[in-house]
Formats: sequence, structure tokens, C-alpha cells
Amino acid sequence: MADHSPAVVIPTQIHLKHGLFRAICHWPFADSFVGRLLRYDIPQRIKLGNGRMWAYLDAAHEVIGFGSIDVCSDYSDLTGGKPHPYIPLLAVNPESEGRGYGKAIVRHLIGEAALLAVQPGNPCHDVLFLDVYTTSVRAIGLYEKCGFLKLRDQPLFDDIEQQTYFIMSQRILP
Amino acid sequence: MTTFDFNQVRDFAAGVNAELDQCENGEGAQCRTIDATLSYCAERCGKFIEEVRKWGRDVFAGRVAFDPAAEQLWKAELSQLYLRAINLLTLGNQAEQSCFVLDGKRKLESSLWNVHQLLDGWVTPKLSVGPSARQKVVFTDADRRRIESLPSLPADWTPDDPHQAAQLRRFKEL
Repeated sequence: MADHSPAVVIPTQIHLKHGLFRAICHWPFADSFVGRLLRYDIPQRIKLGNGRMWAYLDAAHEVIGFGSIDVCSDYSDLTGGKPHPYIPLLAVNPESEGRGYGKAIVRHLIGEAALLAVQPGNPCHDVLFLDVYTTSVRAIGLYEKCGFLKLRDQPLFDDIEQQTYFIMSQRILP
Repeated sequence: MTTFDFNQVRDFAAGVNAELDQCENGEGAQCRTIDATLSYCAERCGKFIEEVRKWGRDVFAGRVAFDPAAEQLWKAELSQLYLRAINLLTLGNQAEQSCFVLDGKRKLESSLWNVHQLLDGWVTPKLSVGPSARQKVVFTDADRRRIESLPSLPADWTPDDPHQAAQLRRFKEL
């Protein structure tokens, strides 16, 4: 599929008690890290932070992926202390990979981040962040195609996961 | 690592309960009317919620150690506060029926909803799986310059999602 024409996805915001959330938790992710992020980090970001999550459906209303966004201060040292949008996790159903859904999901999350950055009352910073392990080569390529840039050329080291990772970011407003 | 321990939770909850006791006894200028009392309780619920969420986020980020006894006390005290606020809301309902619309009742209903959301499907905090919240990265001026220099989206950019696009237009018009 051409890069300029992402697959169409239908976003549906879901909560932790939603049957779709439980179903997604049972997807056979190749990387166990994704499952742990989904089961442990996402519920905390939703309950204790400002996290939100969407399931994405295809035209046949099959769930082909999910995505999440939080407004947090994890990288507020880079945003002048202002809370910023952050993508904790997104994934395509392993059975639906390779059809351009990842790009459509990222683009939807960029749209949500833009709304958060202009919402009346309490807008967040207009730079959207995410982290990606260096082993996730396809994901890094996807994020770069969607406009994200690495903060540093050299990756950082995650002491607990014992892996290297990049912080990536992009401005999400014109 | 410091801990938001059992004693600190107990002292905080006791302080909130004492404030509510004084209010319900008619002490203090801010609780002269049922409307003001309802508002006061709503504020205290909000304060309690924010402390619980802050504690959870601190555990998530590795700023404090998780203490199961503190968690049990948070839940017990929050449940007590919920019941107390429900009783007060019942009084508010009776007063409203017989006289006028109480702004404080709306505030308390909103706070009760938030308390319920926190208690229902309680999420036990634990250290973040992903690195952003817990990894202590020392950012440099070069990192900050990199963020400041991120290009904006094109001037004619609009989200793919028509609902997002419409909402973005509305926000910008405000």
C-alpha cells in the first residue's frame, strides 16, 4: 500500500472493563513486552493519569489494532515543565499486520494529540513523544514515516529491560 | 526511596475527615449553607482523589516504594469518604426538591463519579514497564534545542479523522 494512502480504521474509545480490552489482552504478541505494557502500564495510565485508549476496527468491523495516549510529565524536562502528549503503546493485531493499519493508527493518535494541545482551558504541550526499543526496527521505520524524529542518534539504555531505546517526538500542530 | 507509608495515608485521611466533621457541624464560614457544605465535600473528594492518583503515579515512576498496607488504607478510607458523600448528597437531593437548584450538588455528583471511577476496578500501582516514567534520563541543552527545533506540521494539515478535524476547527474558533 502506498505511504500517502493509509488504510482506513474506525477508532472506538474503550475503557478497561470493555470486552474489547480483555480480548486485546489475549492477542498473541510476538514480543512479551507489548503484553506487559498493555496489562500493567495502560490501566495505570488510564486510572491514575490522563490515559485514553482506542480499539481500531476495519471496514468489516473487525478489531485490527489499538492505540493509547496519555498526557503526562515524563519528558517535561524537555517541554519547559509543561505536560505533553505521549503514546505509551500501540499495536496491530498480529493477524492483521502488513496492511498499513499501523500508519493509520499513528495518524489517528497524532490527531488526538493535536486536540489535546489546543483544547480550551488546559492545553498540553504541542510535542508528542513515544519510546521505541532499538530492536523494533519496523516500528522505528513506521514512526519515521509518520514524522517522528529521534531525540538523539545514540539510543538510551533501559536499566530494567536491559535494552536500548530511542525517544522519538514530533510537533503535532501547524 | 521514600515511601508514602501507612501513617502518612492515615494522617491525610484523618485530616480530611476532620475537615468534613467541622463542616457538617456548621463550623467555619465556608459551610453556612447546605449548598456550601456540598461544595466543600466535593472539594475534599477531589483533594483525596488527587492524592491517591499522585501516590499511584509516584509508585509507577519509581519515586516511592509500593506499600500494600498503604494501598489497603487508601481504598478503605476512599470507600468511607464515598459513603459519607453519598449520604450528604441524599440530604442535598431532599433540600433541592423543596427549594432550589444547588450548585454544590452538581459538584458533589461530579466528584462522586470520579471517586467511583477510581474505586471500581481498582488498579494496584506498580513500577512502569515502559522506560519513560521510571528511567532517569538527564537531558541536555542539545536535547532541548532539538525539541524546540522540531518542525511544525504543514499549515494546511488536518487530521484524517473527520470527527477530529471538526473538533479541531471548533477548538481553534474558541
